Amino acid sequence: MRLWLRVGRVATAMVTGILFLIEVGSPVAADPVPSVADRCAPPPDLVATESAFPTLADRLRQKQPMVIVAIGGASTLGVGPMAQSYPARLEVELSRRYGASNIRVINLGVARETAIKMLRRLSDDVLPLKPQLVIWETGTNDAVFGVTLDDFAQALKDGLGLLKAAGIDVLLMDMQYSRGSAEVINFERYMETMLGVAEVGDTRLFRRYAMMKYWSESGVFDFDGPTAGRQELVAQIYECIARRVADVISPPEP
Amino acid sequence: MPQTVVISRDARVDFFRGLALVFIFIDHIPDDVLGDFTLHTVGFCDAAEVFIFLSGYSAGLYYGRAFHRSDFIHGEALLLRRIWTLYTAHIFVFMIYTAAVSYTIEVFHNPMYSEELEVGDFLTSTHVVIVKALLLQFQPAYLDILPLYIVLLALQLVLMPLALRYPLALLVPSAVVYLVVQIWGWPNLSAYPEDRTWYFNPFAWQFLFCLGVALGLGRLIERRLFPHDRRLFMVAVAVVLISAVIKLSWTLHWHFDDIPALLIGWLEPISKTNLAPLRLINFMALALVVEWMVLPQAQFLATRPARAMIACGQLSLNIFCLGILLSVTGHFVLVEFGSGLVMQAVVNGCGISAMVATAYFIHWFRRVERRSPATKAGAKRAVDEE
Repeated sequence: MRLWLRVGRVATAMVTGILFLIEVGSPVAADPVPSVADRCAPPPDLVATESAFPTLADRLRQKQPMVIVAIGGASTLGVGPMAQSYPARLEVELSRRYGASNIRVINLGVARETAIKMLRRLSDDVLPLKPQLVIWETGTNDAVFGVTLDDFAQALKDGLGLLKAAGIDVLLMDMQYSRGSAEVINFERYMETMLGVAEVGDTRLFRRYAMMKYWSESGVFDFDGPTAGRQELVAQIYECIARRVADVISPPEP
Repeated sequence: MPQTVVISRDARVDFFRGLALVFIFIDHIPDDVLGDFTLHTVGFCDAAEVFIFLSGYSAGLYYGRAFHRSDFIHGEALLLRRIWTLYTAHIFVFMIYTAAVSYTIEVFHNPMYSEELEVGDFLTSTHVVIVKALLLQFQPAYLDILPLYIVLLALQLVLMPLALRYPLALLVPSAVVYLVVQIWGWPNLSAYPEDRTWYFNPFAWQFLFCLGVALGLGRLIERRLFPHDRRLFMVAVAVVLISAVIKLSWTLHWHFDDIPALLIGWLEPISKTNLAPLRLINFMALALVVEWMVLPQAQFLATRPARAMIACGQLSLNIFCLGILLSVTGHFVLVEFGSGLVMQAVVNGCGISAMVATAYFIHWFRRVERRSPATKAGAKRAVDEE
């Protein structure tokens, strides 16, 4: 069961780590452009093979205009310049993949909000924008403040229902990972709740936590490392998250 | 004084309580592989139900006997002393937990995790948090079962003396309150920070505890609350098996997308906070089946591993607190040093060994104390009260 998945994951992690070390160590690794992309490949069990939103992918291929709203907390809003946040990078990435100039990703991140508070903004702020897709990042503050799981699940369900009723596609996104945060916050219950709600509501969940955990454990990124270079780390992570989100909409050709 | 039966400890109670403590230790470590092999994998209920129910049952037996044998005031005093012990244990665990979080927050500071760092809020508003912890309102993960246990036992100060002769009478008001919570999702006690409520709603969970108490009290006066009926047994077996199949499909579904999660759209949400009926029914059926199939004199209870679990179960409070601290430590170790199979085995192995070793040590120490006449009475009391 999970045991073998884990064995596989650890083995892949070790191989990736070794490859990474080789790459860093060798003087030939001078190609500046794909370095980030190569580094932050998703863990094998989270590789997107087909689009979770085929209609949206068609729309993009036909170069029709597209509005995506990213609603969430501080990690959606982004640390540092706005152009560096994951929604901004997602806009760049999708535009690059489709050679389009009419894709907009609107950032509605507000720090410290729980799912219940975001629910209110979904109807007030998100619906009027008439987006084709909403990326709803949540769960962090609910876990931090210890919101009851029942209330959390209800808010998620209400939010998904609201967006579905308006004919909008939804991608849920869970928390960020770092060893430090994992040690002090019990995210597991909240993540299971998100998985459950996504399952019942037939909604795609972007498993950011699992992905970042994989990057952390395979040594691709050290989220708990020394303070120097933090700004660059933040920029790289947002770039990586944006690319992996783009994969969910339009998976790279195998 | 009504006639009561002299009852020696039921090894099954201690065995399953010990097992529940081990499960609680495992379940409290996020990402623990062994977590896929505990009760919640094959049941809607989990070790929390086992722990609370058996605690109620033991309380019914021990304090019920005290109320029967001696006077009312003495029974109340015994209960109060136990509540006080639980309270101090809670505060002790809280202190250690706070120290662990303070340390981690101190070391870990990254702007990317500004929201995650809010959990450290309680370090900057210590004056509020300490008061809230003393009032049992501050309940971070791990620190939510003991407050429940304290409140449930405090409830027995009133209920138990009234229910000595008619244990079933205890269940009437209890069931009414439980039903109110199921229908209206209300009431629940408030927690800290504001707008929060208790993770284990005492208004719902009191029913399970009272069921345990009533069964314990019933045993004292040799009255069975559930008839030894073959049909009832068959129904219980069916409930346990069907629940197991459904829940197992959910568990497998998380690991393999291809296996469907049976009926999940129909059955979710199953509230743990409010002890959803499905959890309660599943647990009671399981308890009935186990009670029927495992005899008190069952052979396996004499084996070494079973004796280790019994030793833990007899010292439930000590081992529970130790288990919580070991979970926190185990989780820390897995996060810091990798969660590969070897580390998993080390953490789980060391944790369970530490729990068993501590239980044996305390038992040994109590035996030594009992031999000295000066402390004889105290040691006897300590063993029975658990």
